[in-house]
Amino acid sequence: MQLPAGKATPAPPVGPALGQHGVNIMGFVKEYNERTASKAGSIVPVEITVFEDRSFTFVTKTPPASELLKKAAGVNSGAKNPLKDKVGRIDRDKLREIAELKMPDLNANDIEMAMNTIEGTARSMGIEIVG
Amino acid sequence: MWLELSVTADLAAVEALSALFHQHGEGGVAVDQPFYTDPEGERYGIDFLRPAKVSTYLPDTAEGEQRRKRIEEGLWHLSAFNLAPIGELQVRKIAEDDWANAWKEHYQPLRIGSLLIKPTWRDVDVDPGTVVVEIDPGMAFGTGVHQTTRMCLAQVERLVQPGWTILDQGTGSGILAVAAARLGADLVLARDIAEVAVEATEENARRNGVLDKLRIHRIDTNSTAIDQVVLSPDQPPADMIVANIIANVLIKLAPAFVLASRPGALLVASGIIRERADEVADVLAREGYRIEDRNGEDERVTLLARLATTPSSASS
Repeated sequence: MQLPAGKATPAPPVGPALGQHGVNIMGFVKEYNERTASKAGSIVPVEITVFEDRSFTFVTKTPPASELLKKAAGVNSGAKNPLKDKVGRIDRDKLREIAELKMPDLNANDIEMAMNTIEGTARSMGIEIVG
Repeated sequence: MWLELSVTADLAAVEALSALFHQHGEGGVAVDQPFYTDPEGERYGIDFLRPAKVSTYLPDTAEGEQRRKRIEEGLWHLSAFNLAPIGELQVRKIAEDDWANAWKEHYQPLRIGSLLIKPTWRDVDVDPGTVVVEIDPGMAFGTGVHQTTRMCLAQVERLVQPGWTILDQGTGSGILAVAAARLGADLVLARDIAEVAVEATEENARRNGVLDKLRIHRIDTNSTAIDQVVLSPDQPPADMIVANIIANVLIKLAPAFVLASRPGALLVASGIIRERADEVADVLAREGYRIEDRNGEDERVTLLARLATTPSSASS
């Protein structure tokens, strides 16, 4: 899940996504908010594993690629029509930096493949890659 | 009412989809990713080759409808970039719920002999002679839902005698340790490799008024089998060991279990996949155990074994 750091609540998406698996919602919300309190204001993805007996564990992950791209390009949001409008640009060194950070969470065999995935996300947001 | 919007897509498109859903959805994004696991559940991870389901939620209002349209437009743009195969947008209505409490419906009181396992929020009529154990499901394994936990609880309920020392190796939520203490054990040595389990066991022991009977320790999986089972030279010998783990760990720890037990002590070895039950039984037999019972042939097996009363009877 991708949730606001320190501010998760039992409301959607947490409630319906975890409730159907019988996960202790309040237990998760409390733990997540405690662990991410220092990153308030950002989105902290979390990977939750639910076991057969409905106990669970979770690990926080690297920030979403979109957040990293927006920050690198100095923009607040992506383009409404990314085919036509461009909201910002980053160079290939920055793209590589983001791809390296995101490598553990991407199904990429090498850095080039990871860069392709991040570049696709950037283009879909109206962020150009230059250089 | 809420609208649940979801799309199935290959992993390469998940980041872009999540960005779109996050921009217009309410509260965040859920990504349901298929997992792979080995038969014992020891190793698992995300199966990157299968598509994931990305979901977000909107209030079922006119404003929510506007945001839904923006998501539909965004999906159209995304598809033009050919990032990866993206499925059709699925929309369904879901009822407003008391999300903080609805999950609790999954948990019913569980009766095993004289034991009653129940979450704290359930009020249950208790007959005289019933031993109540209150466990709230959380992050540590041992909610009472799993077949292996129930099989172990049945053995603990049937066998534990007042005054006994119990060793609970892999205690999880502490459900078996607490049950043993509530059934009359004098001392329960509860161990786990996870800090979350140590914390949960302490909390559950306190809640059930048996914290003074438990000695709870976190153990290191990198240490030797003996160091994981016998924590000090003066550790009291166990009358019974309960180990609801998996075959590999049981096999590794079996010799140490002998050292931690008194002659004639019992061992409840559980969490074993059916295919490896004979292998575990053979190892235990070599260490001097006699298999007295075997349950749960469907999926996971629980073995009840008794240690020989003297070293010479182990080899006979």
